Amino acid sequence: MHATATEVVQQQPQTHPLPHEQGPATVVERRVAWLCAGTGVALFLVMMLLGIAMRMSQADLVGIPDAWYYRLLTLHGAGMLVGALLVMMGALWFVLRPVVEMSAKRLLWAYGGLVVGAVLVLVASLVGGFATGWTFLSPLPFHPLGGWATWATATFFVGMLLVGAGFFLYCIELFTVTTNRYGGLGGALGIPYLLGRSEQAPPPQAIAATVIALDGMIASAGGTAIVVAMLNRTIDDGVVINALWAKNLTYFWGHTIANLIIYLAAGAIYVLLPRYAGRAWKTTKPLALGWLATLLFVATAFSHHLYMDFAQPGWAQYVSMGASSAAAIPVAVVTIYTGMMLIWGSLYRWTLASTLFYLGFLGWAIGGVGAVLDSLIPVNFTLHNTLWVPAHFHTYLLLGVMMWALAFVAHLTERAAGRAAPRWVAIAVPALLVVGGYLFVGAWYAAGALGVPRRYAEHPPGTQAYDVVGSVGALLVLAGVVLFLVTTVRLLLQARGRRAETLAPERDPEPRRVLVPPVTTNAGFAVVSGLAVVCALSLLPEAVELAERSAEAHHLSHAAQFALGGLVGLGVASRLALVRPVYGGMTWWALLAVVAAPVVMLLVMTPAIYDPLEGNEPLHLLFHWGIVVLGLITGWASVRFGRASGVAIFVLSVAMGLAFAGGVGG
Amino acid sequence: MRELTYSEPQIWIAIAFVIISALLVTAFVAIGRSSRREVPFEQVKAIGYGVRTWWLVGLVTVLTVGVVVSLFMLPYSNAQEPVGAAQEIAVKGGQYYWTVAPNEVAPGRVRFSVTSADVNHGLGIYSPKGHMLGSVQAMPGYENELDIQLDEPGEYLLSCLEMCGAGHHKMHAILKVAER
Repeated sequence: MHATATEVVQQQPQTHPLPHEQGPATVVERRVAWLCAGTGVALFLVMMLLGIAMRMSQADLVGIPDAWYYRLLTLHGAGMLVGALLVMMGALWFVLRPVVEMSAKRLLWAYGGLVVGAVLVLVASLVGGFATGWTFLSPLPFHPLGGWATWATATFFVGMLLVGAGFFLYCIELFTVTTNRYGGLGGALGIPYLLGRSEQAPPPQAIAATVIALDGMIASAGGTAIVVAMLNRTIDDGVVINALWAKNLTYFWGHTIANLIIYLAAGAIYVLLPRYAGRAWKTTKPLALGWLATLLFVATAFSHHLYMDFAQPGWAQYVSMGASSAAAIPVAVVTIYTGMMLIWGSLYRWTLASTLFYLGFLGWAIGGVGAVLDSLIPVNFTLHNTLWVPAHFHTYLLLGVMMWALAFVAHLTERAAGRAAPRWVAIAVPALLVVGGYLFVGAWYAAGALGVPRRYAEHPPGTQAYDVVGSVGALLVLAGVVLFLVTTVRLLLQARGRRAETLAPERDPEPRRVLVPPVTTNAGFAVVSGLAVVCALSLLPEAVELAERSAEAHHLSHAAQFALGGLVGLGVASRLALVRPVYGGMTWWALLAVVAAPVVMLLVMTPAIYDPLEGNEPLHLLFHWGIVVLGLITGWASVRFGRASGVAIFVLSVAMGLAFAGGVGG
Repeated sequence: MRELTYSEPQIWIAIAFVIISALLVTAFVAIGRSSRREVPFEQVKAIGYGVRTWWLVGLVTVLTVGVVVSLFMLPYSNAQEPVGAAQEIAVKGGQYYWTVAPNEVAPGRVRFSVTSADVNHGLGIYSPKGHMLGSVQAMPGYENELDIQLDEPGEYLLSCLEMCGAGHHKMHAILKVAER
């Protein structure tokens, strides 16, 4: 008879209480956390099963037809992305809400976007046969060779648009609450504290949230431009998308968001790890500086996906190599190092959750080594798109992020149950995940070093031993996850009836603050008015005629018209907010407006829509004024988010139009 | 078509990765073991912050050396010396084939001019022994030029390295390098 976890825990020196012995979460926090974590882990499990089937197919242990392999690959990538995002969005929300007021309702909209988007991707791939990989590099979606129909392409891109919109909404929420709570963007990043002007600094999870949200919003603007461009091309064969532009934007969005998942997790770890180490993770100057650097590096690292595109401007490659390497510094020197300092000599309380938290750091570190090596251009020259690539990102996603996702679920479970998982489970689950996980990625590293290409339905003869080893590793991971889930369910069943006792009363809402609009000074209004006058030139008949010379110029003039409306909306609504103060801010209509209006602006930039209007002057004029109105709606609504967030939302919506003009013709 | 072989790994990259990973695992084991005893946090901080400074200096140095050395080893043709009398090979990728013209060259320096007829492809070049020499993308609307030294006579394998559809894994071709 093994000792129960509670007995074992009691045998350890009692220097600090375990999380379930500490203050409880509120009902809203717990429900949101369970919703995100539950959905995310369920997606993990399903996608993991697909992944194992694909790996075993490469090892010739099961048979999957080639066309189905690539469908599953597409779904696996997109599904894992959504699953990991959901868990970590929930985890960061869970630790952030006690310090800043967050809305569960708005989180549900973001959740809805991600989940409905994932369902559409599932339909597109499994029913429609869409199989381009989740990175959908243009023009592959339009060269199906009979593999999928146009409706499947449209469904996939609507799904990706919803996934992107969901994450964009989440980032808007984070950015708005942190910047309004901590005195604007500088305050939320801890800059006054960093410069010695203030003793007070936001807590680490709030600084992390601000950086993630800003990078997430910037990436989402690029993502919206490319996904809508792909939708336009799906609707209209006349749309021409520059392949290099498309690849840049796809990876600017895809790489950045995939990268942000681990930073979301790090934000949550700042709060969760100390609960087991008994030492607080406080904001320090290195931490604030590290996140400032991360803000820059995460946004500029994506071009390493284009190292082998020699047409890519050289400066972009060198910036990317610098940023991709330098991104390791804040991670290694600040986050991981501080985490280890908190654990060193702490009488760390080893439970299932805390063990998985600890091991997640190792996955991040080793995956990071694989990534930094591959980010050096001469190394990438021989490893680009070999199995080294899935090896390194599975190291930090499977052995980093998923380890932390399971740790978060275990943390919630242990809190709800009032006891830790049995000791043998707390040993067996991490052991299965570590042995299986490193065997799984190790086989890929070895095959990658040999130059075996990634994303091959069938692997060449002579390399299948690696596939067999990888499959065995993946099955061990699956065994670990199943054992974890069985234990979790058992603990939760035991916890029934106890949950009400463990809930904290809902906090009183913070007093509603007066919103500081984006423009407040005369100088600001002068700048907005001046820019609006410049943009208004795009409506002059001469400018309209000039814009007819190429589709790119036409789209540029549309972006200027959108900016005109936006500047007017931003200026007028800011002036009104100064005259008659606005309380609160983020209403449903404002959120809908800032997400939907720019998308509509991009969607109507399709030759099939505007070409027929060009022979009809009144209708053509109406079309241009319609774009101005879309800008007006966006600018007006962005004021509802306060200064930093309002400016960011407006600027990014205009940037979407400009980015679109840069690569979409017809 | 010759048999697809993958041998002779990127040994130095693999060694560097294994050594750094082993050091990390050792550090994690040590930190995990340390948590069983109690060390006052003030003491941990006093030592830890000092070590961190050196850790920062060391890491920045290693990364800087890596980046600077990489800048001298770029594969981009405009970053290299003029090719001179190199043999030019026009390569075009399509779903799911390569056209390689000429498909036989003499040993020496060659310039691959790579493009695509339809979607994105990637040109991976493997030596006759199955050693990955390097890769370059084939993108529609663009021509990427790669200069590379092919001294060893034999059959070089050209494999697609960018997912291009359901026949991606079947997209291979051969380039022959004649005997001297």
